[in-house]
This record gives sequence, C-alpha cells and structure tokens, in this order.
Amino acid sequence: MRPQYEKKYKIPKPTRRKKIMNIVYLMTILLVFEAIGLMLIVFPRSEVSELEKRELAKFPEFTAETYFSGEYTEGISKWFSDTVPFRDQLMEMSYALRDLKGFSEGGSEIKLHGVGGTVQPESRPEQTSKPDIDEPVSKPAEDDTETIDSSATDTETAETIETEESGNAPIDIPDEEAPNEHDAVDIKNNGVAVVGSGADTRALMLYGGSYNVGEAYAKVINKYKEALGEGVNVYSMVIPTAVEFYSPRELDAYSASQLDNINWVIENLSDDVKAVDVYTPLSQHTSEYIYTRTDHHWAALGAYYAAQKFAEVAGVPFMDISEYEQKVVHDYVGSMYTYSDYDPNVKNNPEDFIYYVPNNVDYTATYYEYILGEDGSITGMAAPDEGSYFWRYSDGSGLAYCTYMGGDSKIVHVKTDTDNGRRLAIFKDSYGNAIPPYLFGSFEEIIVIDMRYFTYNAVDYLNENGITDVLFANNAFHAATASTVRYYENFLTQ
Amino acid sequence: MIFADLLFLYIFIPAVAVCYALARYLDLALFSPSKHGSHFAQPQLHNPLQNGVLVIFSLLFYAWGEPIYVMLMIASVIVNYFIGLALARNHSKAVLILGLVFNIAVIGVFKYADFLVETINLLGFGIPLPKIALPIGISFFTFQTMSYLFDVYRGDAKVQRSFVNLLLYISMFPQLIAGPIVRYDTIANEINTRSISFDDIAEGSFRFLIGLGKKVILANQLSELSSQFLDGDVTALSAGSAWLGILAYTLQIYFDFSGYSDMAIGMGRCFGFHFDENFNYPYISSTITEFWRRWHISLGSFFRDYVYIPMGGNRKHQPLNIMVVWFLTGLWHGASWNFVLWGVYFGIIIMLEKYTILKVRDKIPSFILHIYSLFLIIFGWVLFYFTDFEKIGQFICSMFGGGAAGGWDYLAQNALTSNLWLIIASILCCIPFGRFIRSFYDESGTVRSAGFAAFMTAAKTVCAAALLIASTLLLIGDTNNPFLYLRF
Repeated sequence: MRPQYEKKYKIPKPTRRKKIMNIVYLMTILLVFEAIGLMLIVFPRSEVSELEKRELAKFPEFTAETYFSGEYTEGISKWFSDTVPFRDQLMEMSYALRDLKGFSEGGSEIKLHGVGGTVQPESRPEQTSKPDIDEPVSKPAEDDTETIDSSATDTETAETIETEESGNAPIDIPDEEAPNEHDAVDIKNNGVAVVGSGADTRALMLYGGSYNVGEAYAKVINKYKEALGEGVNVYSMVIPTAVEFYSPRELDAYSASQLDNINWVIENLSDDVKAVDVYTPLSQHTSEYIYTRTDHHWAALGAYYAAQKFAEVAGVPFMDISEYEQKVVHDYVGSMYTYSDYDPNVKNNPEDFIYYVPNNVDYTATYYEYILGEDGSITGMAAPDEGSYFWRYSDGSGLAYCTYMGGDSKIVHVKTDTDNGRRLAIFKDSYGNAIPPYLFGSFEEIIVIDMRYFTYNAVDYLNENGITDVLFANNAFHAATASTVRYYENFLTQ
Repeated sequence: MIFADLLFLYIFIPAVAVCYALARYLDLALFSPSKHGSHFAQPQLHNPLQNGVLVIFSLLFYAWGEPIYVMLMIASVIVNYFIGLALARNHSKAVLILGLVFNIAVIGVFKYADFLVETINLLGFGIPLPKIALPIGISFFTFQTMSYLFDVYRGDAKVQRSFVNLLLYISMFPQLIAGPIVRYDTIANEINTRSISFDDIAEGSFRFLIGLGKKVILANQLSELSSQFLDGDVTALSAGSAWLGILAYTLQIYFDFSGYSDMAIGMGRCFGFHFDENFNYPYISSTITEFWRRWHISLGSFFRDYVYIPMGGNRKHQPLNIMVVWFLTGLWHGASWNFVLWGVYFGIIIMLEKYTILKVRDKIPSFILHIYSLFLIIFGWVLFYFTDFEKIGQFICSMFGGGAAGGWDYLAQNALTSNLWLIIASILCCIPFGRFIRSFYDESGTVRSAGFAAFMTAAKTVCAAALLIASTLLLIGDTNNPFLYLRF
C-alpha cells in the first residue's frame, strides 16, 4: 500500500556520464557553498547596523541559567545571523531581491508595507457622555519595541558632527546613548505606503488615530492650564503629517482623517487653552518642501509656517525666513526606509535635507542630556553642556533630522537676546524640535522638553524657570497615542 | 536549531559533513566486512563511528533548542529500547500496550496537559493549568518510537539490540523535529549498513537546496502576505483580501512543510538513508481522499497502518474507524479544538466522498473536481489557521463579502500586484512542472547527446547555486522564521 517512489536498493548503476555530471555539479556547488561559508566566517563581524540604526546582537554570556533556559544557544544563533560581515550591504541586496516578488501598478506607483485593513470611519462620541480618560491612557503603548532613532547612535556619523557656529568645538555624544526606543512609531500607524517615483517618491505613514485618545489628549492639556493658572498661556498645536497632504485617493480608506482628529482635540480643549491651527497654513504650502519625503518628520519649512502661526496666536514678534541662512544635508535617506521594510525606491531617491539657521541672533543653548540604559530607559543625567542648537551632519547621513539638538533625550534651555519678558516652554515629540529656531527672536528663553524624557514635576519646573507660555507641539500620531497622554499625566504628578 | 538558519547551514553542516566523512573512512578501514570474514557475522559493526557521529550531532542539534528536554528524549528512547527487547523475546500484546501507553503518556503530558485541563475546566472545574512547555518535535519522535514498537511486535523489523542505533533512529537530526515520520522498518537495514554513492550526495544536496528555497524564498515571503491579512482585524477585510490571505497561507504551509521534508530527505540521502516521500504535489488532487494520499504521507500512512487497519479498516465499522483516525489526525496537529474540527471536517468529507464522488468520479470533468478539492482544502486552512472560533466565523463572513471593506478593495489589488510574481512562481511550484523539467535531466544522463548532458548539468548547477545564494541573502537579518510544523 505504501507509495514507493524510489525502488530501494535497486537504483540502476549510474552510468559513467552520470557520474561525471554529478561530480561537476558537486564540485561547483561545493565551491559556491565554501565561498559563502568562508565569507561569513573569515571576515570581521559587523557590530553596528547603520541601516537599522542599532547595535547588532552580542555574543551571549555563558551561565548555567542562560544555558538551560535555551537563551545561550539561541543567542549564538541570533548573534551569528545578525552580525554577518558586510551586513548592511547584504541586507540591501536582500531587500532588493525581496522587491522582485511583484510590481507596483503602472500609473499610481503605490507600494504598501504592513497595511492591515481599512480604517473604520469613526462616529463622534456623544458630547454629553463623560470622556473616559483612564481607559485609553492605561492602555499599554503599542509597539515600544520598535526602534527608531532620532538620537545619534551611529558612531561614524557622530564623529563628523560639529557645532554650526563655533566650528571646531565638537559636541560630545555620550557613549551610553542608546537608540530612542520610544520615538515616532509606537504610534497608531496603519502601515506604510510608498508613492510616486523618482524624485517624487514619498514614503507615508498611514494614520490610524482615534477620537477617544484625542479627547484624553485635550483633557490633559486642560489640566496643565488649570494647574498653571491665569498667568501662564497654554497652547496646543497638533501637527498633521505628510500622509494628510500627499496620500493618493486610493489610500483614503486606509488612513484616517487627521483633520477630523485635530479638530476633535481642539473641540475638547477648554476655552482657556489656545489652539494653534497649523493645519491651514501647512495645507496652503503643500507644493513647497514642508515635509521630508524619506523620513517620518516634517521639513524645516513646514516648521517655519507652523511657528509663524504660533507667533501670531501668542502675539510675539516673528523673524521672516529671509533672515535665515539656508543649509543643506545632501543625499538624505530618512527613517522611512526602515519603516517601509527597506523599499529600494526610498533608498534610491534620496532628498536634500534643507534647514535654516538664524543669521543675526545671539543665543546660548544649554543641554541637559539624559543618560539612557540599554533598554532606552533613563538612568541619569549628564552635566549641563553648552553648544549650538544645530548639529552638523555630513551629506548622506541618515540622521539629518537630528540637526535640531541632536535628538530627543534631553532638556534644552535656549537663552536669546530678545527682551520682552516672554519665556516659552515647549512640550513636544521630535516634530517639535524643528520649531524653536524660528522663535529665537520671539522669546527671551525657550525650554524644549521631550514628552518621553523629563524627570521633574512639570508645574514646579515651569514655575521655577519663570515660564509665561507653554506650547504642546505633537504630531497627529502622538496626539492619538495613549502613551503620550500618559507621559503628560505623569509629568504633573512625578 | 532549525534548518533555515545561517549557523546551521554554514557551521553545523560543514562540521557534521567533515566528521561524518572521517568516520566513514575509519569505518571502512576498521569495520569493513571483508576484514571480519563473514558478511553476516556482525552486521551492527559496519558503521559504528558513522552512527556515533550522527548521534552526537543529533543530540547537539536537539539540545541547541531544548537543553533540558533532550534528557526527556533520551529517557524515552531508553524505555522504548527495553520494551523493544522484551517484545522481541515474547511478542506479547501486553508489553506492546504497556509501551504504547508509555509513549502516549509522554505526549499526553507534554503536549496535551493544558488542553485537557482547559477542556475539563469547561465543565465547571477550576483546575490550575500545568503550563508545561512543549518539547520541540515531540509529536514526531514519539510517533517514531511507537512505530518502532509496532514494527518489532508485528515482526516487520528486527529488534534493535544496539542502544546507540535505536537512539540514532529516533534522534537523527534531519527528521527529528518536523518529520517526515520515518517508520522503523523503512530504515532498519540502513541503520546497520548503508552505501553512499556520488549520486546520493548529488541528489541529496540538490534536494536539500530545493527544500531550502521552498522555505526561505517562497514560504517566508508568502508569510508576509498571509499575516498582513490574517493577523489583523479580520472583520475589516474585503473578500479579495481574505481570499488572498488564505491563498497565501495555503501556499505558505505547503512550501514550509514540504520544504522541510525535502531538506530532511535530502540530508538523509547524503548520509546514506532513503526516507519515504512525504508530499506528492497535494494541490493537484481531484478529491480530498486523494489530497490526503499526497499530503503529509508519513502521518497518513502511520494512522492508516497503526490505527485504521488494526481497528478493522474497511471490514468492520468503517465509518467509526474513519472518524477516529481523523479525530486523531486533527488532534495531532495541535492541542486546540480548532485542529480537531479541522481533522473531523476532512473525516466527514472523505466519508461522504466514499459514497458519492469516488463512485462517479470518471463522469465528472476533472477541472470541476480540482476546483471542488481546492475550495475545500483552502477552506480547511481557515479552520486550521484560526484557533479562535469567533475569528473563524468573522473570517468566513469576510470571505464572502461581509467584511467592512466589501468584495474587492484597493488593498487587495495592491497586495495582488505587489506579490504577483511570487504567487505565480508559487503556483508553478505546486504543479509537477519541476518534475517535467527534471525528467530531461535524468534522460540526459543516459540517452541524450553529450552536449545536452553538459547543458543540463550546467542548468542544474546554476539553479542550485542561485537557490543557495538567494536563500542565504534572504536569511541575513531574518532571525525569526521558525517552521510552522515545529509547533505540532
């Protein structure tokens, strides 16, 4: 009954020719196998991936415990596969190979990565119902394990950094600086779309935000206003991201409306909190370079229009863009290359990262750097250090957005030569990093606080520093993410 | 350790190959039958070093993933070794039953304890879950130990008096953790004595590369497509997305599992073992009955020969026998009721086929039979994929346009075009297209011209090198790609 595909022990004696065929085949394939094997074993192992912006796996330490739990052997397998020689180059080949599995349609040129389904249209919660702040807030952050990095971790690039103005005084980047585990992608994204071709290629993170977190976000800002009292102005600026303006129609069903969510936040702000509508000015300038194409951030010009709007709402003077000097980091390929699972279209269409440095302003920026442990958590703070607000990255660096303060895990105090009694604190995600340069002529002091890295009580800290204006500047993803609200809640009580 | 892993490919394989070759050389020098007079005098002594090398590397292979449970496997082999010896002495049914009870107890405790307790708790009890971790490959190696006892009891194979050789049969790393379930009588002779020709190594290595490619090039890429649609909110899917997702899974599980079998069979052949085939183009079946003769053949024939036929086969209460076999087949795949449902689903279809389609098969156009079979097979994978019954319902609803995105949407269209070549290549690999090309190669070794033979050799070599290079590239940075069947 059993199927017999090979007659055992009765294999016909191979002919001489067959034998030669076998030997030729065997010798050749063995040669290929050995060549690859030798390449993998002989050459030095990689330690850092610039592509993924992370340190690669380390050879595990042997203990009886790690051995019997299987961690040790698993660690060796992982180490071997993670640290192959020439890893980044091979990875790029690997992703180029993967890209052969299909094609993007002729006209629309849209490629989707990890898009799971339609975004369900939302109905507004009834106005009368009490907002349940605790529920969304207590949800665990979505994907804290994803590493994206806005802080300078890659050593090679870090070495080329020098301060913009003082020229030869390099900023020390502490070795401990670990990838920022919490940045932009622990957020409600619905996958990534790469649209367009050539110099119009644009990678977009699709939006999956929801109303209930937006409501909680507004409420926590209201709490700040309540706690700070009448003497302090509180502003909320929710910044739309590129998907809102550059997403083709086909993707409408897969990315929720940021405008609706932004308006929903505004509706839930108390009357004492001033909403800064940056959506309108940004939507009027979409033909300009207001968003990066290959990074998940906006571009300097977008932040300029947003800052302009903020200055108008806050009633402070504002310097025109003509008073700035334009600088460029060429051949920039940002984080979306990673988020798009290494879509070659993103890699092959780098952009010029343009930013603006004020010409005639004297300021000092004091850095209070947090020291981070291996898991990205705060373990201490370095001694205060003065430096430029702008860090210089070389052409081709994937970290160009870190031009602003070199990343997120720090508090930065900027003292300007303005003298108008106004002192601003900005609570922000990495989008907010690009705003302060346009306000050096608007405020006496600007304190930049990241929502993930702040260990003081917010009210005490703001009062001690004599803050008159508090701006919450977060992108629409973070304004719809439960962990954002949780961070801001904690700042009030910690 | 798994096969589709750089450490296995480029460290483990070269190490085992060098040691095995050395052992073979020494075996031939020291234990060759010609030096010991009669060929039949000491049959076990033909290749003790080779078997020793294989056992050591197999234990290393298993201990790599299961540093503690490797003891369980060795203990199980020790018990079965003595039961085997006892069976050889008196062929007692009581001893056989004792042995089977032992093996079933092992798999029952280590695989089904939680499931059993959960099911009992459904009746209102509150027994805490034992939470025993599943030892890798336990379903495969306990089935092999049982096959050994059966074959010795029935006299299909001679008892294995060497403990090392029995340990080799159970632990041999090519088939240890994900099959095929090699039956003892299949390789009983080859454990004691085996030859290895150039043909074996050439064919075995090529087979291995085919399997590697199936897993790394096809299955791993298909898994991205299937998980895109199956792992999220299934109520949000359009019918197109749902079908694409389950089609991708249909292809993925076949390449994943048959790829593993190919690698096992290929490596076995390089070591001089000839395992039975485990897959025979299952998706070209015209009936479900035929599908199960082509899918996971080693499991089907195990249940047929050791459960179905002993229960009476088609002579006594056949419907009962069929349902028992399919209940067990389902349960074997996982400690969850959806697997049982999946098994029983096929049991019912096969029973119905016996009275309907199989009788009028020749009168039905074959393309209708193929569509019928494929539909039921794909539908079966829905039951197989989702362990949650509510999700099965939601997914089926979406398959027929009841999801939030209706019948067809942009997402489905985009997924289809951006994976089109992958899907086409996968479907081509499901039909005996490769076998067709392969036949030219086999002919070229004998009847065709020398030029044609050279061309075919070059083609085969290029193909093998491409598979190896592409698979290696795709494995770099891909540290998490376990075989689906490792959890069964």
